Amino acid sequence: MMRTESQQFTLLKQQPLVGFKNKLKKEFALVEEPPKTIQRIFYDSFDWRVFESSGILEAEIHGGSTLLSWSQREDGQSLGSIGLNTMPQFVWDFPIGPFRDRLESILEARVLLPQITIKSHIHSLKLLNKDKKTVLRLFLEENTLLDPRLQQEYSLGKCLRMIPVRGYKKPYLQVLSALSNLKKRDQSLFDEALKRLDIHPKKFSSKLAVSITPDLNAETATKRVYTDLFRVLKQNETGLREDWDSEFLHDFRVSIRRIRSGLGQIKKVFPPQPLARFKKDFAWLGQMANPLRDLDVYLLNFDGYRARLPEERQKDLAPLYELLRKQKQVEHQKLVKILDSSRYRRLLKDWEHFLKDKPSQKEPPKNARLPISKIANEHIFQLYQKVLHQGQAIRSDTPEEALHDLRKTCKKLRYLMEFFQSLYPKKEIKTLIQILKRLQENLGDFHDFYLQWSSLGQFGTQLSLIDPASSNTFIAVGMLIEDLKNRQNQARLAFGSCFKEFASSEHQKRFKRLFLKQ
Amino acid sequence: MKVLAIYNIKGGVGKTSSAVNLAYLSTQSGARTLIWDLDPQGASSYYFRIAPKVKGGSKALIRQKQAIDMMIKGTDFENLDLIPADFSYRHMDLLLNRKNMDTRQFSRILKPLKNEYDFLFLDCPPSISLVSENVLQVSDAVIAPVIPTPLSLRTLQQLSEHCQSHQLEDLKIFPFGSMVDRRKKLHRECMELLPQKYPNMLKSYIPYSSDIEQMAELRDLIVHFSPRKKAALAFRNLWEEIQTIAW
Repeated sequence: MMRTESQQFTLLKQQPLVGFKNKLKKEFALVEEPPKTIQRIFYDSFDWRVFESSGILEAEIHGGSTLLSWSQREDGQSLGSIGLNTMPQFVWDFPIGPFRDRLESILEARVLLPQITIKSHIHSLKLLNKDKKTVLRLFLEENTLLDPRLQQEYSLGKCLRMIPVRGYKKPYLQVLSALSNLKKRDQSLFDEALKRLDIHPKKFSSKLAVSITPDLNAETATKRVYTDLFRVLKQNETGLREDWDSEFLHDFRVSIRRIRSGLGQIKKVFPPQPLARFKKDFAWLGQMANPLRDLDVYLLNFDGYRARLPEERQKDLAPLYELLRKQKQVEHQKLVKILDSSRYRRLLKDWEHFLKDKPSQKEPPKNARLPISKIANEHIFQLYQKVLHQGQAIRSDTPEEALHDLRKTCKKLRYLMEFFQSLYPKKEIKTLIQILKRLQENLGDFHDFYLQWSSLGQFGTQLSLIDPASSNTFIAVGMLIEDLKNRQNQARLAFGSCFKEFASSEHQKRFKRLFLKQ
Repeated sequence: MKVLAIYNIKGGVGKTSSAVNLAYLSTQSGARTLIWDLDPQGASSYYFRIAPKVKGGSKALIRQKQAIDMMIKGTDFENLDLIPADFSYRHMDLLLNRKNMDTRQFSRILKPLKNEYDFLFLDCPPSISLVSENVLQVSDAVIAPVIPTPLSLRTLQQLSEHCQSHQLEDLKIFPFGSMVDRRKKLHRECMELLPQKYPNMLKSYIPYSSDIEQMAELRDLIVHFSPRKKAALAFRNLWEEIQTIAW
């Protein structure tokens, strides 16, 4: 799509905006709007999902009203704007419509946080044609960046923004040529603010960001992986404490699980002594976080639960929602206490020291000095073979535990593949992770549906004890349990074909090619 | 992109004023919106102060000799664009009647825009023609303004029959009361009768209002220049109802 691009020019510090505006007005038939001072707040999730999707979400606050505009970072093209009385925290707080739907696919359950605040003094001008139609917009601005951490303000200078109107290129070119003596701004206001605040959105991702070379020794390489996992854990602690959204706990837990998985799988790289303690303490921490995550999952799924019941039964689930919400508050408080505990603080401190410790010189464990590629290949292929054996042994009458065991092995394999993915050709490792992911989705469904119906059964019993008259709720929960059991059965039935695909000779060759040869 | 045709076989029922006001309201709710002024008279284009002209006329458009995005004009409102009318649209039927054209030509023309906009409003000319058949074919729903009189009821009936006889049984038609004057007994009676006959009839209606007539004089939209007036609030209610159905 060919579009005329918006332009930004830097104005000199000593250039008064009013003087420049009057000069422009003399040259072109511009109509002026009253000057205004606004606050621009750029919102994004903690992990900068809007930014990662090449977008910017900018709330313009002026005189008690908020206009939220979504645009593309690169060319400023608008993706929609919406007037709001209050700024929504979550995507489900937005009015129903395309804006919300498109944003939901990016933000999911993440809370919107004010990331950057700029105070702007703006003179708005419009160029009109003979029909009094706006054919170009000009904004003369003076911007100040607010740094809430240091309680400081930085001047971002004065600028002229020129916004074309689609289909009116001629007036745009005319004005552009008249401004040819001005210096184009080399970065947007938003990018400049990021730079001034030293914010690097990629650093907030919960995805592993480790780059290791094949000949790096196993000890150093593994510590690099652990260091990045520890970064994710620490980054998510504040959001978890404050309960900003459910993803903080999710990412916190995933990093614990990944650390635990690494400690269990990557053997003879570290001395057994600190290892046993860390294994024990991270297992404890993971366990402490489980009940809250389960409740988060039920609450996140709640709309889905409701939708699967007949319409006349849906309202009967309200007491269950209340119970889950209250339980969640209780579990959250419990977890905050854990985060305040000396055991947790000590674990974090000791783990950090362990990661920063230099490799021991005398008598390193057997695998510590081996190249990481050798260790990674061996461990990944061993686990892959274990997945094959466990999966092949599952028949239609095999007890459920075997599927749970397979799910756990798959998870371990997935983590190892992700830890060391930078050792392998990007395309190939991604394909293999995708193949594994499809099998994991089936096993995950089977396990999650089981967990959900068994826990909901307990909540249903609790509800009937609290209020014996709530028979309608009890029936609705019963229907939900039946539905979840059915879905669990369906997942079990689908396992055969999922595993067959995973274990196909074509995919086996791919795994061998990548992990056995190297 | 959801395509909403503002259509009625009968003329003078408030199609254009509905199309432009509803399109504006859709952008206010966060949607990226396009309106195609298909009426050669170009009233929508007039309201937006956009010249009723497309490069190469309807020939270039229908035969896809000119990319459709080159014909789009931005209105004075952010996220609301327009494909203007052109006097040559009066011959659009003839162009569509040529070989290699069928009632899906509009779908082909609009295909490049489907990810760029959330809503497309078609401000349709009255009467049944190949243009309207294309419109019905490409639309997700028909929003039909109806003045509550027996004659309007008859044209609504004709539209339903037309859809059924052209394999468009699934196309939902949502009529709504337009230019309703509750002082008139006939209007009141018809407004009671309509929902019985047409269960898809929308609850919101647009009252007859001199404020709406003022739009032509000001070349502006009532929902923009007088958002608190009764008629503007009626359009707001109507849009909320339509959005719930259409999205």
